[in-house]
Amino acid sequence: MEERLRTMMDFPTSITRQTPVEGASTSISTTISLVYDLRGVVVDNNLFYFSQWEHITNPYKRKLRWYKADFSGIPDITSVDEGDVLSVARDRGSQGVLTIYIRDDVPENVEKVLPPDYLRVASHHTLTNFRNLSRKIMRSFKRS
Amino acid sequence: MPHLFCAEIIQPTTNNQPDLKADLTEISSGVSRELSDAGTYNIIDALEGTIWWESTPAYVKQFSDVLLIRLKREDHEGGAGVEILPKLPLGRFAFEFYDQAVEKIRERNGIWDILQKLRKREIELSSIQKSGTKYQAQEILEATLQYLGEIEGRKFIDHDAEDDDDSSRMDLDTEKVFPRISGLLQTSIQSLNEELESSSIYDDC
Repeated sequence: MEERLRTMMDFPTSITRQTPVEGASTSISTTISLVYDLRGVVVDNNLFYFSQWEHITNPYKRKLRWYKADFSGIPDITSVDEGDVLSVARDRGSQGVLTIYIRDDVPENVEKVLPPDYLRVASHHTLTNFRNLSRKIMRSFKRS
Repeated sequence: MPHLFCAEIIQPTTNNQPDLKADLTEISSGVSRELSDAGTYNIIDALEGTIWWESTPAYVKQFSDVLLIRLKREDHEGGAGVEILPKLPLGRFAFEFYDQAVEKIRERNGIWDILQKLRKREIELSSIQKSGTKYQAQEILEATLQYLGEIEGRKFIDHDAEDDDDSSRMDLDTEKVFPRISGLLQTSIQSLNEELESSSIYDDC
């Protein structure tokens, strides 16, 4: 009975919906996640907690890093553990707390890191060479 | 981006009335004393209390990207009063699983009712009320058993025994040995424990 109660409300973590395409008889299917990640907590007017993804593109190293923003005196932003955030949210905040959740399939703004210059130069040359080669082949086909 | 902050929530109605629809940017949940005092509930329990508050549960038709949940304790103490989860699975509120959710709510309520009845029965079985005070039957039986264990086999003077004419025999004649009755008491404790075990399913939950 214990197991039954624990797993009773386990539902799938995503849904797939069909969206009709305008001017076409077909539809595209979209999968939406039903799981939200805690990303911020507002305790009161002076105390906020917010988070930022670390190594977001690496599924093995991906981790939320939490920060505490305290504006009660001199503005202060410090790194904190997630456990501290959860404890504070549960016990502090005279007017309750505001939690901010973001759906876990919402794309994050990731700063694109370009490859080093020498690689970019090499890839540019390779592309140019490939283009030239394909032009030559096309010309030879036309002549024949 | 129409669903960045707005979640569409539908409250089905009865009597063939059109369903109520609301676009919410924030869900404000009052955390009842029942949830905060127990200390075992979490943010999903508080959300259930808000979204499934009516006799006919509501559901979420459209999920927003960002979800704001305000939690405020009804006992005016600080904090949310319930555990805040780092991951929040909201599948139970989805329109796609509405029928399953309604069925599971009914089933869960049924289980809770059974557990409450079993708990009541366990209290009835395990306690003895005397002069308005409740005593734990098991503790009384165990204390009695311990006492009997100490005096069993010993001799005692039976003052109620009729004195015969020959007074010279004195107390020696009225001395008796306590009978061994702890075995009977042991059986009573055993049967009480068995009955309690069969009715104490709620302990596991």
